[in-house]
Amino acid sequence: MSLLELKNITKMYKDKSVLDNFSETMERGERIAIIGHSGCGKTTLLRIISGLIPPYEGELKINGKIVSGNGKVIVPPYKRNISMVFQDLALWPHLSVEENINFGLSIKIKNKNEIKRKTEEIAKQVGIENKLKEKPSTLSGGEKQRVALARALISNPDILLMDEPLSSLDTMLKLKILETILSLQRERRFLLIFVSHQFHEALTIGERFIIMEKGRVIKRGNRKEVKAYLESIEKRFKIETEKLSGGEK
Amino acid sequence: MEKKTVIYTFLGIFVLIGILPVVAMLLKSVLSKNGIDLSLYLNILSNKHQWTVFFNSFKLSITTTALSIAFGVLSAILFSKTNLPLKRLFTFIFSIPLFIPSYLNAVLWWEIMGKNGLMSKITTPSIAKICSHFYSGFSGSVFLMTITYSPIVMLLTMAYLNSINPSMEEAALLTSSWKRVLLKISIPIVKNGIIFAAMIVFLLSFGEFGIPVFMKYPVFPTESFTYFSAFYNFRLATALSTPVVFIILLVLLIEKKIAKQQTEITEYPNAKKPVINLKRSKIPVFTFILFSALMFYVLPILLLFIKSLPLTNLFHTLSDSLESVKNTITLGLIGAFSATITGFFIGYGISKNIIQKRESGDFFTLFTFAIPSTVSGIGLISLFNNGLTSFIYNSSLIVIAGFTAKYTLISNRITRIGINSIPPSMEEAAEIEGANWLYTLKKIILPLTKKQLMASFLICYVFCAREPELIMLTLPAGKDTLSVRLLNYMANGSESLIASLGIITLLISLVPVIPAMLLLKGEDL
Repeated sequence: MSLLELKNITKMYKDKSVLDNFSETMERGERIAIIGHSGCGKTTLLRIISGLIPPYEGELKINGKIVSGNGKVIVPPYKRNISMVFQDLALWPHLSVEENINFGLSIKIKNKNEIKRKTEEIAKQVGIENKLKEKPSTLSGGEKQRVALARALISNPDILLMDEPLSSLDTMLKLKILETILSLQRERRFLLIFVSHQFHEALTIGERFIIMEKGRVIKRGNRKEVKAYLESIEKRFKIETEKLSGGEK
Repeated sequence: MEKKTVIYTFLGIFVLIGILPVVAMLLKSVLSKNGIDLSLYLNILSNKHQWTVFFNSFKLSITTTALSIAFGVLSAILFSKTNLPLKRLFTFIFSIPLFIPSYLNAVLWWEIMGKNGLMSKITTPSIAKICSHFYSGFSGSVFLMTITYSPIVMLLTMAYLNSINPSMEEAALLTSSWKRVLLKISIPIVKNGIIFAAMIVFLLSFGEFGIPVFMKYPVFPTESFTYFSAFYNFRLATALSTPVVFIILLVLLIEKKIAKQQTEITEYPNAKKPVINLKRSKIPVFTFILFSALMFYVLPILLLFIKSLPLTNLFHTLSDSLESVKNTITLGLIGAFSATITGFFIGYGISKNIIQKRESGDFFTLFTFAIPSTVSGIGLISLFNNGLTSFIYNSSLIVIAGFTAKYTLISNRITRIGINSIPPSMEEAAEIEGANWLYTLKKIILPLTKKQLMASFLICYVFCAREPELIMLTLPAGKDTLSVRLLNYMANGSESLIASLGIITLLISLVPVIPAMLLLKGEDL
């Protein structure tokens, strides 16, 4: 039994298909990178997996149990043991870093000492243990990313969805955060679904790849296959730009 | 509880207390023991006096609207676009008349323009006579209503001007002068906002009661009020209210047609807005504005205060009116709370597309806001004066219902700015973390909209506290508020008593405006 099964998932917005017949099976401990330009349906797919929106058609199973189907969300997001890091991070500005991180945990667990211990533990793992009392607005971009990551991981999810979480960071910072994500994923063995429009970022984090365009999957494969495919596109792009510039160097 | 259930419950309550009373009133005016009876309407249509009253109402509203647009837009440009010093203070001073009972404005200006006012003491008898003559009937009503309602145009235009993307003006400034940029870019962009403000001013002037009563100028609201309270001719009062309802509907539809798309208010918090440098005109303009502020807004209050002296007189009036003060504050606070909560949930429903046909939600809150209090009062009595709902009719609940229906619009519009500024991902993140909607509401949405909720609560309170007509019509006998007491004293009280009661009313109405404005500092409504 697979951890996550997506069968013929389709999503329409006002008669326009944004996700077309998407099917895939994903296992615990895998790192899946979904690559594509903006508007290709990546974020919609994550929102369907998380249960924030229902699919128009198709069926979604987690641990063999149908959680979305027949155009409905059957199991609500919070009962799926899924976490998500949003593109804009969605940190609540009026809550401290600590309160942001343990927001969900404090609903599930009533023991304050336990909540405190778990918060400190995850904060230490992502490297923000000395920022717990601060408000998100006082943090740097990288620190905010770490808070969002800690919030997503504190309840030990089976699946972590990441929606272009590094798009606003510079290259060096990106590398550091990617390193943290990878080490935590290897340690905790959750299924990581990472969505990005930046090929290099996705190639660093993924081990299995899905390339999407206009709501459809146009390529699937491992790092080697996808890298070759992307390099061929890059090469074609280079030729075309050279033609446009009249061969100037 | 489900999100939809909560929102539709509040929407249901709003329809019950805001829309159904108007429907009940309309039905009562056409139904008699023998079935449908339109004789009242035929009588009104054939009555020359009613046509005069109708024409008066129109003339008054149109003139007030035109003048309010002229003054409001000009002051908005000065206070939001230029480098005029003390802009915030001037904005506050110019807004004062909006927040105090309209007939209190009439009392304030009586101290200057009235028979025994300041003008009679500092000018010749003939000039004083001209002033006193001007300060009555149509001209006096237009003058006062323009002072009272032009702040609406000013504040709304300021909000819309501030929400223009700065780069749009900067791009135009590369090739044109500020004058051209204002005429060709800024004003056309906020055109729909100005039309909206004009519509609000027209509707409020059409329903204005206090000023025409003071100026003895017959208009529709004063007519229906007189038929209701003096002659107790309920059916005729209702029939007289009906044209007002239809005119409001007509104006709302025309506005919708003209301004097809509402100007959205957007914030550009970090963008530096281009400013008109007044250069050499700065000192003359500042002097003119300072003089206007002192002359038109500060002086009348100062004169009223002087008349209310000595302080013992003021304290004596206060101790005599403690019950009215208590009623004003209690009804104001409960009314404001109820309107704020209702407006918040309806606003949330509209923002998040939970309320189907969101435009209707907006339309109805605007409709109940525009309905004159005399009409909504008669409507509430039509609906609740029966055996089943006598507990509402015989208690202050009917007043609270009236306040809620009328001022839900304010909270709906203000809190929506806060709700719209919360990225959807913040609620989604809470949902994924396991929070149900009520928990998300408590922990995320309410704290993040705290500022707008507080501001709309304070503004709703000010409007509830300044309201006399609804209270006069609906509050159980023996109870009154400061605004009602002041209106009664104006008919048969001494001048110093009226002055001291005026100052107390002013303080009770105006005090919350300062924290409200501070809370909304930098917020573009």
